Amino acid sequence: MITLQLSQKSLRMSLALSVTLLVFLSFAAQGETVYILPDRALPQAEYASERLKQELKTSGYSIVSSPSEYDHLISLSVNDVTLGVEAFSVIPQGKILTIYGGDGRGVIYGALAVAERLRNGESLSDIEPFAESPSLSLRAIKHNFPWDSYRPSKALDQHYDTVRDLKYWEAFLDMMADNRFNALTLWNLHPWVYMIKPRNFPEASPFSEEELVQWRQLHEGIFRMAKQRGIDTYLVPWNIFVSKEFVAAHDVGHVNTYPYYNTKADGSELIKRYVRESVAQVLEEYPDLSGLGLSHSEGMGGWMPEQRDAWLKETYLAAIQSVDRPVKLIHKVPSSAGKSMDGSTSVETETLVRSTLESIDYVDGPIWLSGKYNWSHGHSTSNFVRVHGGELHDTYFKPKPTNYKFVWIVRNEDFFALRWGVPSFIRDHISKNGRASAIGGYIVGSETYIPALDYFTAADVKPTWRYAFERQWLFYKLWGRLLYNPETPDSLFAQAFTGRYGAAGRNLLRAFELASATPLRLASFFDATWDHTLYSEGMLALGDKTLDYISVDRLISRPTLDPDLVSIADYVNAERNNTSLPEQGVTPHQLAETLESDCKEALGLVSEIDPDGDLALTYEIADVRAWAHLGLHLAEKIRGGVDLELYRQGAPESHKLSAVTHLEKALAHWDDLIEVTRPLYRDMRLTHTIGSSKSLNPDGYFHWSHLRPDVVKDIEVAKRARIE
Amino acid sequence: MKNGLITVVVLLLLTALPAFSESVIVKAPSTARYAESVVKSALEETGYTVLTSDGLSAFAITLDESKSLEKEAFSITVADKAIALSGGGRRGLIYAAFEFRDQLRATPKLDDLLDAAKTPALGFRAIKHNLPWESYRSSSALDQHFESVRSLDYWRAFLDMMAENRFNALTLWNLHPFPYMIRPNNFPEASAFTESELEDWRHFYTSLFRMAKERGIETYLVNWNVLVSKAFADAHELEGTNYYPYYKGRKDQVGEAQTSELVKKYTRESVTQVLEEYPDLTGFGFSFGEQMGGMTPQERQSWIDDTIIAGMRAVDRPVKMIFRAPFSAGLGQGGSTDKATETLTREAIERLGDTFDGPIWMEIKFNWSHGHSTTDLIKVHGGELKDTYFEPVPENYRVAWMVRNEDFFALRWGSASFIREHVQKNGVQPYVGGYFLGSENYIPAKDYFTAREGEVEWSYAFQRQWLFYRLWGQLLYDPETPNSQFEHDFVYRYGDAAKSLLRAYEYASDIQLKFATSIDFSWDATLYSEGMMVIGRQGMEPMSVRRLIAQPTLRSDWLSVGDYVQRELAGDVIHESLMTPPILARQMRSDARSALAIVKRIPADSVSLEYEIGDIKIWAYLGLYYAEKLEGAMALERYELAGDASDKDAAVAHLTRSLDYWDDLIEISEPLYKPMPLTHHNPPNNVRNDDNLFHWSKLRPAIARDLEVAIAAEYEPVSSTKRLDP
Repeated sequence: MITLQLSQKSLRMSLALSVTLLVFLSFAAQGETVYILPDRALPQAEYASERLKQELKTSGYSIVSSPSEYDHLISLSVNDVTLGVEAFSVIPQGKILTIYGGDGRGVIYGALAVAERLRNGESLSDIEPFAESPSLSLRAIKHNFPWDSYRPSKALDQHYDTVRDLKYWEAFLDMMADNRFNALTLWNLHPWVYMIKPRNFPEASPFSEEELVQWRQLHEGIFRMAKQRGIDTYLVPWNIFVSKEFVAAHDVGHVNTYPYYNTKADGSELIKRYVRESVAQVLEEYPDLSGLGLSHSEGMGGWMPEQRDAWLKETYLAAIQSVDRPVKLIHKVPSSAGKSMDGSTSVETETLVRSTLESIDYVDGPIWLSGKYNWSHGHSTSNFVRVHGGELHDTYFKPKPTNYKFVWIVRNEDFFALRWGVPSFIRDHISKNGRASAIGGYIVGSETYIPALDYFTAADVKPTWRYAFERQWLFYKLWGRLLYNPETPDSLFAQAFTGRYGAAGRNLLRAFELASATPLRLASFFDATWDHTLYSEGMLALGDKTLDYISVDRLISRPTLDPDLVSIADYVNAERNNTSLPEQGVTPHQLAETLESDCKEALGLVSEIDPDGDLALTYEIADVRAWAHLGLHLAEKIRGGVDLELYRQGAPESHKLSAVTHLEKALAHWDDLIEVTRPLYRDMRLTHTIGSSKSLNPDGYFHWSHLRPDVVKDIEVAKRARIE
Repeated sequence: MKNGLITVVVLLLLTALPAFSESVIVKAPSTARYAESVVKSALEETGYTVLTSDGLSAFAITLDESKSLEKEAFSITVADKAIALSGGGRRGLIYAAFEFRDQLRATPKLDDLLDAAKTPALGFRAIKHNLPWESYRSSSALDQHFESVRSLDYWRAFLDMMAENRFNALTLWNLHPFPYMIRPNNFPEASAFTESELEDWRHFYTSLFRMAKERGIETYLVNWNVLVSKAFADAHELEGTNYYPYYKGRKDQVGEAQTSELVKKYTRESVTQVLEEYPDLTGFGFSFGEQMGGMTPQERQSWIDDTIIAGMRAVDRPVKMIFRAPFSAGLGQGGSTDKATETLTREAIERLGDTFDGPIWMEIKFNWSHGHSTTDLIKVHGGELKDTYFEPVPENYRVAWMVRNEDFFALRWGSASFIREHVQKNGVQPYVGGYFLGSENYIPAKDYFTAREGEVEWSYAFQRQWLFYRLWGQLLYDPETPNSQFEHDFVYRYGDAAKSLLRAYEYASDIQLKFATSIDFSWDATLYSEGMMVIGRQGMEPMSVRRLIAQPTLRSDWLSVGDYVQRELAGDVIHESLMTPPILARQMRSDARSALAIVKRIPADSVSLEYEIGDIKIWAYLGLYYAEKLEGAMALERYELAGDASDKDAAVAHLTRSLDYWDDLIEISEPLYKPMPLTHHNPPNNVRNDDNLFHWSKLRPAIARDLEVAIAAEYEPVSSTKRLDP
């Protein structure tokens, strides 16, 4: 208690100190003039200097346009002699501060790094020389469109207006540039008719001329703003899809149109021509679009991999060859090695893909060959287990590829509401999976979630953020900055918290590191495959057909994803049969122990923070708590599960009693979770509620409070347990 | 002048008569306009009628580029009345045209035309031409050329001269060329010019580069570093004085370099913008000095990599590069060499691979600032050169020797044998690509020499020195070019009697070469051969008899007066392979007498010829003067060491004759030459000296003092014993 009071006091003191310091610093800057010397030949320089100007003005500097009388000159330019692509260095020399980038992107990163320092309270005169260079070349965001979306769901539809608004994109792209993401990949079933009226197929367009103009402005705006920010843009459609209007006019592709998404192939020549011409026309009419993604799915059911490969060659690849401009290419690892679209892999299919890739010498390389890291649940373990469909063989890596690089798609289908940030997980991930020379980078994002409309926040006070992704700022900052430079220290992220919340924010990074490890631990322990098979923040998983609370019984029987973890069933089996467990395997008890200790520490770290009316800080604290309660719930459920299974396998009655006790504690933590989240979170639409078929509940809602009866059921299950 | 002109016209009419009524058709592709014009004017000059459209003609001359000929090679093939001029590329064809012209001038009948074929011995044959704005040094000797050098007429004439002598690269040197050529996109404050002034400069540079290109001549800018414009330095309140007229660091040349990133950006972007805005500019050259004091060789290299090379690399077109060998292996800028710096430099060039339109020309000063001395490489800028740049044979660069002339600006010069020997010794190695010829302290534009203004046929200074350019250019292209060709040049200009002038120049020029070789010179103003001057404590002065005794020589196999006399008195055997002062004196005297004997037989029937003869005489009298001075110095030293009074008498006698010859020289030169501003008179720092006129007559008092020195000499046995002691 005494310690606590002391720390509270020192907290206030340091807060006062930093406020004084900030006042002093901005006073020092007050009235000082800055001349920004851009590189007028560099397309990205204007953006870099505009962002820098905004930050300088906020810090009390005034911007002058005369190149002779100034207190500070900031020079922005490319220096590709001493710097590689995307690298930057900041060199202060008296009143001249030079920001060099190895290219336009590097210049932006350098300028934004200086802006970040100003935001964190440094003055121009304080800045010491510093430099950074990228570790991975592709640092991409996967962002789905809510029109012609992969699945039909109100959870996706609800973003329509927001994603149609260029203001949203401006903010999103600013965030990407701040975090050094360099590629935006835009995914939906069939983007073409939203962008062009196909010259030879005007009947395919669903829009009036006026409507199409608006769509054009949107797409052009996104691509243009991305380019200004040094961000590449890719369209990643699925195949084979057409527009409803095309179907109506030509009587083909009846199941190849939204909302069908996992469907049969239609190999009509007319469709091929329509797709080939549409792709070429889009590339021609949108010169700022960087490239395309190739999908051997999901409307290619009933075909063999060779047919899919041939179709893509005749359509996309032919179109790319026909246009007179550089085109970049993402090639998705096919999700099926057979006729169905349900997911499988084979060496033969990999060999086919490799041979196609190696025959492509006409794109602006390297080609990014993308594979899903641990299928749809990359936020699990940093140990690689599988891609979509199963095992990844070494076909793509041996011999070493020359014209393509492999990139990991790390999906997040696991937490949309709660803020997340575990820097050690990302660092570990990159260290294990991002270091090989054949690896080109990462694509981070979701299929079942669009980070646009904030459909979470229940507070009646108007939040300071506008969009969903702004709530998850830490997620993007950690992924972006660590992909660029995995050596980025925690202190930088900690400063981001104190920059936002003052001294009150200083424990938050550590608290998130501890508490938001919970969904990673669940996803590592509870094996999952495709999108709906797990929703970690809701403790939900796909049952037979529906998305259900992960009951104690399912937890017991489910194999783990991470081979380093031991499932409850295996653990109990080994205990009962006295067989040995895998060496260094983490037992369910050890996992529960870690969860409990981390979550308790996290709760301690936030227990004394007074948000003092700051809504954002209130949410940050609440999310730490929510994760912590969820983690404590999971710990108790694991313990309960072990005791329950031991009892069922013949252990003494005391195990049953212990199981009941643990599950009752689990319920108590769930109730804590509801208490924290109910006032702050609305009932939230969730794509996962579709379950195993699109015919099921596409318009479902989620909130932890609705699951309480299922949590209670676990106690009943334990109480009713019998020795088998 | 009028008489001379009439004579020339009559002469032309007479010689042209046989061809007078014959007509010629000239066929040339549109890409060969310049070569075509050379051929047509040669024909017209000889009296042939060039038909403008097809018709009956006696001769058909066709000009065409030939794929089977190597670059710059050419051939002339005569088949009855059809004459084919072929060139390896545009340049080869231009050379064919000039060859045709030269043949026609020697034998003015197309029927007598002979087949000819030549290929170049050296690929790079460049002129170093300094600009009088932002000039390396600040001097009225340089400033005075401003109007001439700004005139495109001057450049047309200069470039014609280069083309006819087969020089293929014009390198333009000044401290900081950029603000005269561009308004830097990101640094408009760097240019002090108004838009219309800048437009004039743009027009000038664009036309210059275009005219060069038409003549098959590459153009390069060569600058020094780290320099900016004064306007730029003022705007950004830069520390230091990195702008004209400061060409070196202000104080001791250490710790003065301007290394700010702003200046780097400005430099890099200016290089790119210049190359982009002037597409006809071939390339760029750069210096690792003179304002790079306080930097290590590695820092200098990095600075150049980051700025000029990066700027050149950023240009989306082929660009050529001149990479000057660094002047300093230390922190200072005074000049030094070492193996480590050479290794670093070689690695830096090799890193460039084939980024540039190669080979890269690595410029190295042959015998520092005084290449007109000996044909053996004794030193480069800074000292001795190791073989780092040569072994193993480089792939992406070739050495281009810089043969400087800081030794004769007024007097005509021409030693074909020196140049042939130079090329045979130094131009044949696989790592050598060519030569640069030119000066730092002299610009060959305005004729500020000629006293008989208005009476001469030339307009510009370089035209006076036509033989210098003719010999260097033709012999770099083909060292086998026979003397007869140059004799024809004299005959064409001055008639048959002038044929032997070539040999007279051999003798006269040899006096200069021997004088320079007898002195261990280094930088520009350490020697000025045509004045027989060296740098002393008070600046440039004639070689005094006292100094001559102690003066070390350039070559180790040449003995100084002091060394020689000591050895002689000690009774040492002097190996016959050594050059001794008595032999040198004899040879100089012999050269002088031979030259004088030749010109005595040539009637000076034009003012131009008077000057040619006058210059040979001046060289000859310089030789006679110096031979006596050498002998006087030896006698004086003998007397002072051994005390034999007859040696003193001999010294007085030699120095009396020496002064007499000088008086003769004054008498010959005064009617021909005005007092001439001389850059050498600047002290060795950034200070400008406007009291800088040179004329032989001005040196008389100093030379007369030598005689007084001899008369006043006293034998001091003690000190001389000491001096004899090794």
